[in-house]
Amino acid sequence: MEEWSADLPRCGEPKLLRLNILAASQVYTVVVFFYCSSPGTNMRPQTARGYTCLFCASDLGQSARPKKAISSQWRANSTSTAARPSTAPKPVLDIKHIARNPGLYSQNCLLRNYPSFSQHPFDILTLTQRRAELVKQSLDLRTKSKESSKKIEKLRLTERDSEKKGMLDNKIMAALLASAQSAKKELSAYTTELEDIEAELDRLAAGLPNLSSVWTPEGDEAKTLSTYIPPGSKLEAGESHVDIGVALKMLDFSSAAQTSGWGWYFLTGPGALLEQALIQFALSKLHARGWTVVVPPSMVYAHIAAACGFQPRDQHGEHQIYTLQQPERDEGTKPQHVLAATAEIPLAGMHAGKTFEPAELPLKTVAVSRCYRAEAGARGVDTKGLYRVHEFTKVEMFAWTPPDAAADAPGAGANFDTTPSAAAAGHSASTAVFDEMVALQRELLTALGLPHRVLEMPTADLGASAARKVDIEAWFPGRTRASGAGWGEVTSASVCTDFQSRRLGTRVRRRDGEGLAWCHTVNGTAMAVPRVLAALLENGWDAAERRFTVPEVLRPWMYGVDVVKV
Amino acid sequence: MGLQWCVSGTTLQTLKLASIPSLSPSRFAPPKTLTLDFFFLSRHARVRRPPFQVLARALSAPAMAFQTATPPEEKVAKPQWKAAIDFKWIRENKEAVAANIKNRNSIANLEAVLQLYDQMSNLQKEVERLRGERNVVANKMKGKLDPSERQRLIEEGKNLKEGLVTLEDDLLKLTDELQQEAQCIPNMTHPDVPIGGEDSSVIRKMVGNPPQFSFPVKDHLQLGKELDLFDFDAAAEVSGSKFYYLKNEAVMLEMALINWTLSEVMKKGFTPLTTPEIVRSSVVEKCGFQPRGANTQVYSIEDSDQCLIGTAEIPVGGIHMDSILSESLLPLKYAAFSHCFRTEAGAAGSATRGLYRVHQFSKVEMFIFCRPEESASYHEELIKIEEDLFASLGLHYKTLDMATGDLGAPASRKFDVEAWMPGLERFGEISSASNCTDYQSRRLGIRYRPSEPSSAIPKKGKGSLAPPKFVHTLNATACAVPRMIVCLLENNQQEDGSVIIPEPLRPFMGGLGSIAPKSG
Repeated sequence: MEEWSADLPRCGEPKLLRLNILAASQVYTVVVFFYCSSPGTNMRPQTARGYTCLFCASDLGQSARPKKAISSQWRANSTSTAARPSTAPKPVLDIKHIARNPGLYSQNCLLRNYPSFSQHPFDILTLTQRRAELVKQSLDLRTKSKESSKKIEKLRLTERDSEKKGMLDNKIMAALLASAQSAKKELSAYTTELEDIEAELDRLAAGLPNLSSVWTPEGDEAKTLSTYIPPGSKLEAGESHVDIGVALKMLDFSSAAQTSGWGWYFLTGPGALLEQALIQFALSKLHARGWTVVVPPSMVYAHIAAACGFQPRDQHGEHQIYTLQQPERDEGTKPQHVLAATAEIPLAGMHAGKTFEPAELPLKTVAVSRCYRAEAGARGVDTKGLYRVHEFTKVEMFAWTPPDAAADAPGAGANFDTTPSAAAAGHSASTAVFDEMVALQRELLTALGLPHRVLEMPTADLGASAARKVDIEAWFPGRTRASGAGWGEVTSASVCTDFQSRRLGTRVRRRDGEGLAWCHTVNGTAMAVPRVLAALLENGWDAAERRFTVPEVLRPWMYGVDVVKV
Repeated sequence: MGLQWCVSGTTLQTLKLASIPSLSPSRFAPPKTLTLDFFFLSRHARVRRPPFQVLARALSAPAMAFQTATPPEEKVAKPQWKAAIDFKWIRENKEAVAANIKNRNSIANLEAVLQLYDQMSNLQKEVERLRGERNVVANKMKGKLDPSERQRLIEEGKNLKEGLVTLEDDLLKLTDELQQEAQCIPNMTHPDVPIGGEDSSVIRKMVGNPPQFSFPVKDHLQLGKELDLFDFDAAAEVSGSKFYYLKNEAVMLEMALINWTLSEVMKKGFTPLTTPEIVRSSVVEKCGFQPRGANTQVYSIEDSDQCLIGTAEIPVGGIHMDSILSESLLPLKYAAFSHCFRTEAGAAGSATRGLYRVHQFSKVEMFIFCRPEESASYHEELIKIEEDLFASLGLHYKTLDMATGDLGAPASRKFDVEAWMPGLERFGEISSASNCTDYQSRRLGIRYRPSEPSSAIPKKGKGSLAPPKFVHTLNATACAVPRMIVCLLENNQQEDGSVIIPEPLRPFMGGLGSIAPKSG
């Protein structure tokens, strides 16, 4: 290990790093040297979580030049067996940065609960070194073979011009020809290996989770940022929305179990109205704030979902999203469809392959869609009722921002300010939109009168694409008995930095006109209907009177239904 | 909207059936309960289908029972469920059923059904006979017996048992085969339905006139582009052709159409519903749609027995599956909101551009469960609701009584509404209302118990409980969003490029009166 760490690319002062590496089911502690240029950087990799690498201060997401394909073959290798249309965006991953900071990425895998991937950054380093060797060797070979072909040519010319025909040294000629032949063979072997390495590098890099932000707590403990309890209410235990909803004839689980299975439901009567009211309430709020409203398709190509960080199975082998069976005539010729688990997927894909002008960003959209989830979820309290279901309606916010400071900040355009201090001060454009999303989420929940708390989610709870995630949990009186804690997630907001845009090819022209940068993407729940509906039923239930009161803000869409009684 | 997924020839279909329970448990039923009176047909009567050679062989050589247990040539897919088909009624009305099959261009094979049915009933009798004999032998053995006599009886009982096992096995296979064939028979057609192909459909009603434009007419694609309402290009990258994103006012229009429709039909006593959009494929079949095969309109989920719904008719039909409703609950009227998914296999032509024919769309669907004698009047009510909705949006439309060749297998009668679409310069289907009588309820097992006993003489013991009867089901489109958007944009376009929003939808769009081109 000592040996290769000495070969690490140098970009500044040497740093010492202690790492736990998982290999062959064993944890090895390894000491690694790093060469880092930023003097104030802490050595521990887990603190390097800004949008800029704290190790080498290299600009994550800065160089967004379209990548030249090495060959068409490695692309074919790097994708799954399903067909991709030729127009599908090609992922451009920052392999250079990973190879420069393997310890950082490895530690990130461990913190993000991707232990089986923690060796991959080191594999990437090894592969890039081998790639460099091969490139050098094949260059040498090319030079040599050029020289020898010159020699051969010269000999032939000599022979033709010479009067001593047949006097040529056949042995020399044969040796030259043989060496040219073997050089050609060697060269093609190098090319093959290079292609394989490119494919493997791409595969390994694509699987790595995004780096985590400076705000994200390490480990699996979330940090509570704030708690809101409506005036006059208390956090008390109460009846479950399942009992309330069935008694009020607003929910029907047993019919849905017959038609579809467990984890499905019918919303009936006032329940169905409440869903429409929640959608309208959220959409009208956001539309009024200037967000662009969209209805996206729910069926998307598998490679688009994968680019957004959604695989048919997650890193633990859990079935995450529904794949649709392909008609026989399309097998192998058309890309496979999956059902979108969230509108984030079709929204992110909406501008795949696009280059934005700086003035177009930030672009803020809000979508209403049906979401489909294959995962059964943890056994126990969550599996009952509306909390964890196979399909639901959701209003989702999604935004594209430049990777730098807010677009309208004067003078910010010339330099992409990616220093962690700028990000921490809230100057980055993606952070600004992120803050706006969380504020909107809180506003909607407050207007509905739901007690809630805002959590900065820890590394272990972040999805592959997120650099930062804030969840809001509402108080569910019905969840207190079974789980001991009445809080349950109702919204989530994530900054994905350039994770999705690198995979979908979404770029922005730099304001100084010099080249392109990767966009940052931000997503957040505006209204996850069944969970909010469940929270409303449990919080708005009057057990003594056996009635549910519809929140004031939803009444414009309830056609006169203010109270639902048993 | 385009509910033509069942060309009657290629779909599942049904029959009238007796109110006897499904025949599958007959293996365990005591012999005396079987009181079917069929003609006697030779039990060696040949069915044209190869699987029954197994049967003939088994009948003549009981010793081959073990070989027939898993015949290698078996190709008949075992039905997962059974339709309560009234075979007796079919046989008694053979000519009418045959004529109906012909009128609907169905591939159902009535002769095969009748032959199979006779074979099955004969086999059933044979099984009963053997069971009886075995009981006789068993009874004989109860008393004191000479050892040689006992041995003879044991032998005889053993032989009978072996023969019985074989026959029961054959009976099960025969029952499956009969179901397979009989499920292809389409619903009987309402006597007023015109006979013939699409051209034979009769116009019931025509409302309004095509709008006159003093400027070049744009189609909805062009209007949508100019008003920034759709994105088909992005959808082609993300999901493929015939997918779309709705943007800006088109989203508000969708929300307004859904909510306005729900609020209107609620006034008519319909209960709003949000349904599952993933269902078991058996429910799809029971509603009369074919979830498999090369030309299926149904998307299936990989590695599961589930499908995406093509219409909310499917989950709503399933909501009361396998139950007996109390008569006082009827009629049950639902207005279900859902997304619908269709493969649109084989769809081609000029109307495939834009929003007219798409893989996914939102729809509000009306569905009624009612007593049989009321279904015709509810069918009229449904078409009236549709016509009123379209009239209040100011559409120029016509209502058609669809001819036999255009009916899906479940429908006894179907009314389509076609609205004028200036972009297509013709009428295009925007909704459809079908009376499925008991076709779906016989498959879904939805019955009701009449509160008044039907027979004058109450049976002893069970009191005066009337036997349950199958309900009738009806379905009708209240609003298929994309085609409504096509109609509204194309019919209400103005010379300045804007589109007027019909009065009733404005309160649902925050008071917006028109969609104007975005400045800049």
